[in-house]
Amino acid sequence: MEYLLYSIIFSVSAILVAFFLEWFDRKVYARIQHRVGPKITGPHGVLQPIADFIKLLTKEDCLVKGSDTLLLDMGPVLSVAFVLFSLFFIPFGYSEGLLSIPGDLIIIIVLSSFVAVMILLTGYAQKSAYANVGAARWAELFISFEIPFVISLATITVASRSITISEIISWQAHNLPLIVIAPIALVTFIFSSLAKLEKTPFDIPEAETEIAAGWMVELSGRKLAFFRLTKDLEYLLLSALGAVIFLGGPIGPSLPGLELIFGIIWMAIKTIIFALVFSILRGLVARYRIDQAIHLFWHKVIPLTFFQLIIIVILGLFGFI
Amino acid sequence: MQGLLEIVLSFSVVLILSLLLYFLGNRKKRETEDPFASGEKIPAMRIQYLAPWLFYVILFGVIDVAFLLIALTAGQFTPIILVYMIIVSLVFIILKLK
Repeated sequence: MEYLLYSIIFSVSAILVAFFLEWFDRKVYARIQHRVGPKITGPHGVLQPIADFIKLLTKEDCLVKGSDTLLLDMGPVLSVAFVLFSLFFIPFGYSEGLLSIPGDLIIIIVLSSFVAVMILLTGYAQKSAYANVGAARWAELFISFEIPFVISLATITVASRSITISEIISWQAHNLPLIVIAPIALVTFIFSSLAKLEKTPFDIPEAETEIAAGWMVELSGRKLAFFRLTKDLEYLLLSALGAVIFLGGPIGPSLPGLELIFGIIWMAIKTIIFALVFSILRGLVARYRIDQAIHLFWHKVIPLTFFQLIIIVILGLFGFI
Repeated sequence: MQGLLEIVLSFSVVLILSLLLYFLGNRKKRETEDPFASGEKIPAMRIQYLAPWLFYVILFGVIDVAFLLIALTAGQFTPIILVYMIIVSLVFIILKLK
C-alpha cells in the first residue's frame, strides 16, 4: 500500500517536473533568440506548459476519415506510460530509483525504443501525406540515432562493468565520474538524445516549414497534449539519465544525516545542466536535412562511439579502469 | 532491488494514471474529409514510402543486437566484444567499398 502511494506521488511529481523543464527549455530558447518567452501564466510564466496541456485536453478531437482510430488512441497513452515507467528506474535522491532491478539500464533502452515505435505507428495511422512523410523521416532518423545512443550506453556498461544504474553510480562514487573516462560517449549521447527529442538540429520529422508538423500534423486535442507530454517526459528522462551515467547522479558532498536532501539537490543540479546543454544546442544550430543527419550519424557519430568503445576496452584489458 | 510485484504495480499505476488523464480530456470527436491541419486542398491519402537508405536499416539490425549483447556482457572484457567489433567494422568496410 505504501509503495502504491509512493508510485502515485512519484508519477504526478515527474509530470510536474517535466512541465517545469519545458518552461525552462522555452525560456532558454527564447533568451537565445532575444525574446522573453512565456511570462504571463504564473510567476515568470512557469505555469504556461500546464495551461497549454489543459487547453489541449479540452479541445475537440479532429481526425481525417480513414485514419486508424484504435492506434491513434493507444499511441499517446502508451507513450506517456512507457516514459513515465522508465523514470521509475532513475535515482532522484538515493543511489537507487523507486524501482531498481538488475539490468535496468537495458529496460530503459527498450522502453525508449517502444516510444519511438509508437511515434512511428501514429504517423502511419493517419491518412495524411504529411504525417506519413514525417513518420518515414522519423524511421530513418531512428535507425541513425539509436545506434550511437545504445553504443554510448554500452560503453558506460563496459567501463563500469554493470548494466544496473545503482551499480554504475556506486562505481563512480569509488572511481572517477564517467564523463572523465568516456568524454566521447558523452558527446555522442548528447547528439543522439537531441535526435530522440526531435530538437533542432534533428527536428526533421516535424519540420514545420517543410511538412507542417510531420507525424503529428493531424493530431489535436488530448492526443496532441499527450504527445507533447511524452516529449517533456523524455526530456526529463534523458537529462536525468545523462546526469546519472556521466556525472554520478545524486553523488556529491553532503552533511551527515542530510544525504537524501543533498542527493536530491545534486541530482537536480546535474539534470538541469544536461537540460541546459540540450536547450542551448537547440537554440544555436540550424536544422539538418534528413540525408545530412543520416550521413552525420552513420559516418561521424557512430565511428566516434566505436573509437570510444575501443579505448575503453583497451584501458580495461590493461587494467587502467 | 524489487520484485515482480513492484514492477507490475508501478506499470499499472502509470498506465491507469495516463488513461485517467486521457479520459479527462474532451472526448468529442469530429471526422473530416480532407487533412485539415495543413491548410492546403489536398486529398486524404496514405503515401507509399520506400526508405532510400535500406542498407542502413540492415546495418541497424546488426549493430543494435550486437551492442545490446556487448552491454549484457557488462564489461567482462571477453573476446566477444572484439569479435563483434571486427564483424561490424567489416560490414562498414564492405559498404564503403560498394
